[in-house]
Amino acid sequence: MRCRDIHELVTAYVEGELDERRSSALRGHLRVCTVCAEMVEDEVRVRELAGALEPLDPPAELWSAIDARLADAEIADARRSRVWLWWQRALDGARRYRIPLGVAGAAAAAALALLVARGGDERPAGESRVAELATAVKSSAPGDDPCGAVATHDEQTLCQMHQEDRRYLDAIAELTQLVAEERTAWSAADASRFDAALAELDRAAGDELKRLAVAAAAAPSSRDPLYSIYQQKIDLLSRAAVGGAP
Amino acid sequence: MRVIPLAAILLSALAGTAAAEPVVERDVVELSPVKGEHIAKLAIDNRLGDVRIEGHDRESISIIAVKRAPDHETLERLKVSLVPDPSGPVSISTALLAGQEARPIPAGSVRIDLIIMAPRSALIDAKVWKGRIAIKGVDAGAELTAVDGDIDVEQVSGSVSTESNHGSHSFAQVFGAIDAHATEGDLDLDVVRGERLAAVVHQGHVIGRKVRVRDISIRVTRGDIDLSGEAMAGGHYSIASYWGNVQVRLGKKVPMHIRAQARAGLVTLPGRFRRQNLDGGVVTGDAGAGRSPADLDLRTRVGIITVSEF
Repeated sequence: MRCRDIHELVTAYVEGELDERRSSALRGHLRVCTVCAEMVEDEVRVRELAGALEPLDPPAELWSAIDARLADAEIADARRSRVWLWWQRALDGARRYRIPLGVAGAAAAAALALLVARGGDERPAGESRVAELATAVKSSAPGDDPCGAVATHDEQTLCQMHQEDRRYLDAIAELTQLVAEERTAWSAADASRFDAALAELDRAAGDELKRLAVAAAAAPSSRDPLYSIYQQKIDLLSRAAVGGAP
Repeated sequence: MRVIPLAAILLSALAGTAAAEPVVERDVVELSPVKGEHIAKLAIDNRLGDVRIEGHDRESISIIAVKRAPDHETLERLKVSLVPDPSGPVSISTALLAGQEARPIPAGSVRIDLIIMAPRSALIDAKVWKGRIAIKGVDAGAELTAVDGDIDVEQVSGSVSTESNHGSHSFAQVFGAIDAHATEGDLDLDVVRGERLAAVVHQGHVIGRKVRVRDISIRVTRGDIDLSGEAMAGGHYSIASYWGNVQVRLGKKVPMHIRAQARAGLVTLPGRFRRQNLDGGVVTGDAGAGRSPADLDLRTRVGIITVSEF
């Protein structure tokens, strides 16, 4: 038995979990190696000191916090898509059967590509939460604060962004309806000019929404360009519906 | 028998609330330009709270940042950065940095409010997310955006533009040009003078007192407009509300030509106007003699139009 072996076995030896044959060999090494003998003595002393300490009960709120974190994690896992679950199973399988990770990754990618091609409706957890918040904002009654009951800062910011989106889009929808009533009195040239200007803004808003859909960060400032386009659209629609000038 | 445990629970809940007091920190920073230079523009981006800007007669910028967080660790993540660019604007921005652990921050528990003293001659560009912007005593104009929050402008000269999605705009003693956009919120104007006033309000009222501006364009979708002031010779005034009343009170000093259209309501003009009723509910009226009358175009789809003089 060498010093390196002692380092690996010392904990099991001190805890009495080492079988008799290896214990005997270890003791034999300690008789001839003072460095290892001192290391084992230190280990025994630390354990004796730790055992002499008063038992310390963790505060109750620590357990409740851990419980809450576990519950959150489990709920988050439950919300994950089938793809994620499949990936975890594939990883487990790879670990168990020692399948090379590259092969497992390729299989997962193929499965994901298949799901996307099929237009699968499964979404990652973050995206489903975004959808939940958007629905809560959309279904809230005027005057309600759907973001008031949200628990975390990040979710509140996300909810507020949906709330602001909704305000802009509601105003645009209302003005669009008014314009539809007004435009019956417009000349063809006026109508055509108005439609071209509106289409330009719609195109810009569409591009901006695409950019936001792939952006990882959900900071309020990311909405600045989109809101600027919405303001321009409200301005254009208001001029036509309220100001009587298409 | 049940009252006592209930009281105990309430007391412990109160004790818990008291124990979770937010941590507040107040930082003060002063920035002075190099001798002979001056700060031409100040850009402020604070998406975490309010911004208050006051103009002063010195060349330096003073910033007071009041940060609030639920604990010291989170407070450390609240940052205010100041970037002085000698050839461009001085930028002040705030951020909540990403933490090392994934512990979520309770909603509404973090905040940074900025109070800034800046040279009067600096153009101010300020953006907030859910907070208020207040600006006072600035001479070079301002561009102010509060997505959800009120905007107060007082004693400001130059070109001022304000934008909000939800929140009121207030202008007091403003001299120059105003461009205001509010999706939901009122617009209040008190002693406003200058070349131009353009306002688009989707849902909200517009009230103006002592307004003397050469060109005015105000459009409201849902809300009343009540404007009092003086028209200027050669000035253009286009004031319209779709669902709301339009009330205008003007001084008698200049000749005026009015075109008013209330599709479903009455148009009332002062007696001295030579009134003419046209098709489509359009009423025209002229008063006074002169080569450059003030031109008023007043419209409402559902409300009434009232013009009076003082």
